[in-house]
Amino acid sequence: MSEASVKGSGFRLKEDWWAILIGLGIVGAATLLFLNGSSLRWLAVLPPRWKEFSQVTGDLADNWPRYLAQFVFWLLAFSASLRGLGYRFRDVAPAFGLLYAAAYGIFVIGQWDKAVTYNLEAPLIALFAGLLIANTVGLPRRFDAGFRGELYIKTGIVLLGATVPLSLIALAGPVAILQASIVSIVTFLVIFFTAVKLGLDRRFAATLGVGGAVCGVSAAIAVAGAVGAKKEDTPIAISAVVLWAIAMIFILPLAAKALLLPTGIAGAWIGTSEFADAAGIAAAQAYGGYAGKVAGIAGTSEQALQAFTLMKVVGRDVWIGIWAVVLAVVATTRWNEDGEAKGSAPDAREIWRRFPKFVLGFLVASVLVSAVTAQFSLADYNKIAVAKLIGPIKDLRTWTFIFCFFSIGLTTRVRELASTGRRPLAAFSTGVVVNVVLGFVLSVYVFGSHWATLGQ
Amino acid sequence: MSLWALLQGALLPLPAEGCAPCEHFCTDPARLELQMPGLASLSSAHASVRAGDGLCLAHQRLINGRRRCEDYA
Repeated sequence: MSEASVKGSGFRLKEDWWAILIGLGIVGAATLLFLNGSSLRWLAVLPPRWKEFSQVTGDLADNWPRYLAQFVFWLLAFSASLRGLGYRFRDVAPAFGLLYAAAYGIFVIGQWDKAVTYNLEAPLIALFAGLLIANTVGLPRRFDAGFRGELYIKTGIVLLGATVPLSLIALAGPVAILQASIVSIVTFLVIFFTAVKLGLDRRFAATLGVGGAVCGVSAAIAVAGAVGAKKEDTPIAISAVVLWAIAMIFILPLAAKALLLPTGIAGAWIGTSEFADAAGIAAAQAYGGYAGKVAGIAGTSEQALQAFTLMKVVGRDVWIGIWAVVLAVVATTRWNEDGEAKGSAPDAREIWRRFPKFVLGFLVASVLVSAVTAQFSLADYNKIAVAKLIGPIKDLRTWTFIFCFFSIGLTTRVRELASTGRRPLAAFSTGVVVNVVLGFVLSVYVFGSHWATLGQ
Repeated sequence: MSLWALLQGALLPLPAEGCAPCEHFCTDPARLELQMPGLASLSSAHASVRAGDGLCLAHQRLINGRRRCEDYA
């Protein structure tokens, strides 16, 4: 992103609130239409599953007004949000046009009936294509204004709330919090003490630790600010998280596929052991795509996403404010011998300030759709509510995820990432190994029956 | 601390006695993302989790701006 692409510096709504506005706007509109006997289905168009390419061209010939309307809808919603964040429409619009066209192409490839055979899952293609473009030919830097993966993934997670019944959150949430807490605390301690043992500054060690233990880059910047980390240390922690998170998008689904893990278990493992929401959703969605297509993999595609979201968002992300405040207290009282952390001080109000607000949108969407569908029998729920209310929201959600995955690829310029250096990378990688093994044991052996039957 | 004080503190900008008005304190999301390659890839300087953090250009640290120091300008 160029500096020139963001205008002004006054008060702005944070990105999380924009994601909530778009996400709940869609859920609210879908609910109103549903209650009036209609549906958002017309707008929620997707390329069809196909064997012959003529099926794709036929669909486009029939449905191009729907794709055009959907493109205009997304463009207006996201460009208004990005305008609110200070970006210029003239930078956002061409970038988003490119993003939508690419997302359509990626969808088409992912809908091919041989896609799974060749490992052509849409999330993986989107990420790989974006990485390839960004690290070879590249695109104009001003287009980064439209490649805002975090806004797209947060919008998608709010929409995901509409497809996760409130009862499921109530039942599975405590297990997710327990499992995630065990792994988060152990991972943090391993990275922190390894880093300190290797001679790194404790503030840097804490930044690295939460990057691996809580919510990746977001946690790293939150704790770096809370403890007053050195300016040059935070990009190193970010690099370690980005490199491992992207590697894990490919490694975790392939490992789970090799072990034929049920989708719910794989989703829980990914939720425990991925480092960023977007990266984890890419991995979980890719794995969910194997359901019903790879012999031996039990469960549904939704179970992978639901288990991931419960584990990562409910189990890990929401606690970032508490981590930040606790570490700020420790930094101020125990690590401040020479008063080097000028400018940072503990403040309990940061628990709310740093709360990932988009999670509220996720919960409100779940409450709203659960309330509307509460009177349905299971048969009617599947026949009526899924077809007319939840299905269209789910399909729009899938678009936002593809926008996100392609944006991640397009904005990850490996040459620009700060060099991690051996010691930080060694400390972080030690935590990764512990995290992956512990996450696997808890997801498969300790809570395996819980995750395998999630939502059933 | 009362609930009202908690809500007030959570919703209002950084306190006046903090670093917010300091000329060394940079909270511009674009500049933060430029200074931290990879931040916009898997997160964002516009995210809620960043709260009011900024770069202290005097001490070259990422800080939450809650404690004004002697270099305040």
